[in-house]
Amino acid sequence: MSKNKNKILVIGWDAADWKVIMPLIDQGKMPALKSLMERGVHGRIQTLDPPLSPMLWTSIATGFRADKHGIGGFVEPTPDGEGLRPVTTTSRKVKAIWNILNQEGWKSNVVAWWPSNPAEPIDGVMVSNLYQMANKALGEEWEMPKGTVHPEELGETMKEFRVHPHEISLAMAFPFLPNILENVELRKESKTLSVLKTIANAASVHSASTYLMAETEWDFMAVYHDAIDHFSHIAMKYFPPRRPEIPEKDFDNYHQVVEAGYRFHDMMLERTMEMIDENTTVVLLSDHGFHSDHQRPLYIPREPSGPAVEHSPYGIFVMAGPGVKKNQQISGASVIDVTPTLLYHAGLPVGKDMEGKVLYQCFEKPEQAKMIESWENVSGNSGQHDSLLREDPWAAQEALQQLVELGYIEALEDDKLQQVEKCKRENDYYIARNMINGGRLKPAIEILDRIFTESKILRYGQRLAFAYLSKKMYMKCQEVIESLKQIDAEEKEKRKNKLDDPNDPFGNVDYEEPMYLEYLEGLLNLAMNKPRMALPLLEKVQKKNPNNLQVATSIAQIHSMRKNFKAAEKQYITALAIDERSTVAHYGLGLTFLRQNKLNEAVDEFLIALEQDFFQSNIHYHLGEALAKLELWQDAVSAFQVCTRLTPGMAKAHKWLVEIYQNQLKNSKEAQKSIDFLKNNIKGEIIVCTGVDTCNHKEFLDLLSKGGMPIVSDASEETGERSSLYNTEWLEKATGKVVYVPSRQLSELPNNFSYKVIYIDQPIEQILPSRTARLKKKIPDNSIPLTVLNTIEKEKFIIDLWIESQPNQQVLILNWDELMESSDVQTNILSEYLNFNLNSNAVKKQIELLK
Amino acid sequence: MSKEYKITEQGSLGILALGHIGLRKWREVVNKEKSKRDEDKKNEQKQK
Repeated sequence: MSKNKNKILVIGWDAADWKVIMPLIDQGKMPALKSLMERGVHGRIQTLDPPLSPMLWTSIATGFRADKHGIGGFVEPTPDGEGLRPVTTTSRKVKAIWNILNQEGWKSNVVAWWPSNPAEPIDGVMVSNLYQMANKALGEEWEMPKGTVHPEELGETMKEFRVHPHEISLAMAFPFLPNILENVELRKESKTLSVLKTIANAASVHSASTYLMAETEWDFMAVYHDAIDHFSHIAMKYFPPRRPEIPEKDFDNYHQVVEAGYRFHDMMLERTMEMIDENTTVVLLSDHGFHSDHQRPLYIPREPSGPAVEHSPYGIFVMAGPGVKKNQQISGASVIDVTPTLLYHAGLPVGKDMEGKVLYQCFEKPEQAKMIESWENVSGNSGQHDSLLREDPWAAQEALQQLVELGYIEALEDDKLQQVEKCKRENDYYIARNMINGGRLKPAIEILDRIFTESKILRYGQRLAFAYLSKKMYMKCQEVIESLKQIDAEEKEKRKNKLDDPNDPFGNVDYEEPMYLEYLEGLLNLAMNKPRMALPLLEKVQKKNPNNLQVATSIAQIHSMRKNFKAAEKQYITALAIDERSTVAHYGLGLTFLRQNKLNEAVDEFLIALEQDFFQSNIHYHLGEALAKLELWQDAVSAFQVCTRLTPGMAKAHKWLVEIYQNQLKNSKEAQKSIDFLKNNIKGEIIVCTGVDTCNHKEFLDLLSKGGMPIVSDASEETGERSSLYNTEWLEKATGKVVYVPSRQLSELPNNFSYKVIYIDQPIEQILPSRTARLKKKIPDNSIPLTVLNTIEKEKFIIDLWIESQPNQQVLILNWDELMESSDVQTNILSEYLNFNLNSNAVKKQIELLK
Repeated sequence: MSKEYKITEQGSLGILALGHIGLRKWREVVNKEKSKRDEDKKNEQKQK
């Protein structure tokens, strides 16, 4: 029995991308989608890595990543372990939303979801993803594989709604292939046949869904279309504008395929919208986007899932219905958020174990979602397959192998076994990438380390190096990069012979050089705070990959680190020319403006970045900083408040709120809230002594020590490496003590401590001799070492910049000469500042020695 | 559905976009046209 409440309809358009859609909407070519957007909210939806559809659509339907939901790729072993088959529902380890709804008495129809074969025994109808696949010529008996339709008795009826590719007439194909009427040869081309097949598949899925919408009772319906992805893989390379590498003839024949594909989907959407009432909530989404502009890759890696390189990281999300905001753009959605959001909208609790979040920003009157530990523990008829049928296919394959080893069954033929093993490694690789994407680095490293040991495949090693890099295991990362260099050299030699096919516009060795190793090495140097070494590597990669967004933003980051803001600005602008929607680039550009005191420009960039992704607390923080510098106090407070709502523990934002409320807005009540927060959350105070490199910090620390002040030695010496100030365990030991932090490490100091800074200000002529001596280079007498001077100036600039960007920061500028000359006065100043009674006699004695 | 469609044997994307109803109607037209052609062919052969 249908509960006849507000229905929910989810429509999946694999690979749909706003970059293609928006111009079509502007030209009036997608009216149905436009109307749906006006009725509800729309925005970008972030994909997961790797952007592979079966994994992603299962994440969409479950709220889990691949290692939890169990769908790790496109294929899995057959139950006999002798071969491979497309992934199945029996491998899914968690409940899909329709299983949860089943338990709650909802009737669901699910059409062609990937994967949905064999169809699950839900209360409703499930038509699997094998439904539309034509396996016989037109006119021959076109059987449906077992398990295609649940309930089975509906199978015969559903057969009628399948469209065979050979049924697609010239009139139907014409909008896709305008030359097909007069060009008979074109009709025989494999790309043409693929287009016809894709039209037929889309029509089959649509017909099955309209039939079920009209003829069955349902509360929830999910329909998945793979056709936009297929049209795009076939013909996005011919999408206008034509690139010089594309032969004119092919462009002429196939340039309309993608546009026609989108317009066909809009026509189907129009029909679907006619079949529902205003109480039905509609969610239309894609799992990833598809590069349609200058970011289209010039080569497709010759490896499994290589074509995924054409996918872009943002898909589309549209939601309309009762309680949903009207005609608004939203940001911050991820494919993993869909199931929690739908459960919330259905009035059901969200699993605490689910990895996504509720997209409250979609709703007119959002309320806190009810939570449940896990839907997996809730018993009742979920409409899943019998637990005996549900199994991990890879575990089953291993069990078979064990039986072979024990001699119970005959060994598989070598090539079959190798094929299955190869495939398992590939799936493990995808799952490890998915884990890295979700921040689970340790298990990802374990998997990648194992498969890279088993098979020296470059991309396994590259991801392993990347995982080590993300985990800050730099030595390990370096080791893997070195071994990859060797493998890469051998591979290149082999590849040389296979390429250079004159008929393949992309079969050119030049396109096969993404320079991932150099990129990794550049990132490693960047992470290890060696921007000087990172820069030339990344610039080399950029030369070869001028349209790579990450390379441009990494180079910009290097320039920012070196406080070369002009150069950083230029690179961020390059990044925005590659992708004008890049949040990272808008945010980075805003930061470079902020640091150059171009405050209005900075505010503009931060606001654009927030339009793309509202939930980045760092952007709100820096927006607040820019507004505070513009003395727009109330606006700055709003920005810092959003920031503390998004990241309650961000002490820096609370410090700003204290500063503004106390000193500008004179609102002690509000200031107190942040003061209380800081009191309860700041782990302690550390006295940071800083100055340019080779200043007399050692002498100063000695002096304080003699005066009785507890000292922790230099941060670099203590932790063994430069970028380890994030190690709060070590810093906790430093609370109430003095520690020297070099200028370059100041920005790494974490926010959950408060700092009192002593800045040793020494005249340049005192620093210069020790600095030139460190260079081990003889500077001729009477000459000024300009490079060294510039470096010292820069270090001073970095310190000033850091101090300036810290709200409420206490700083004592200690003039070295004054300390030497009037030790009594300076010792008193120091004692007062440190709130510690220094032994003035001991300090004085030490100063005498230093003189 | 308020629109009117003229369905031809060649069909159209619009017909496919109507879903199961459009598909059924179009196939009816195709089958009718095919039967008519078969019939004409038979008559032609008879006349010969």
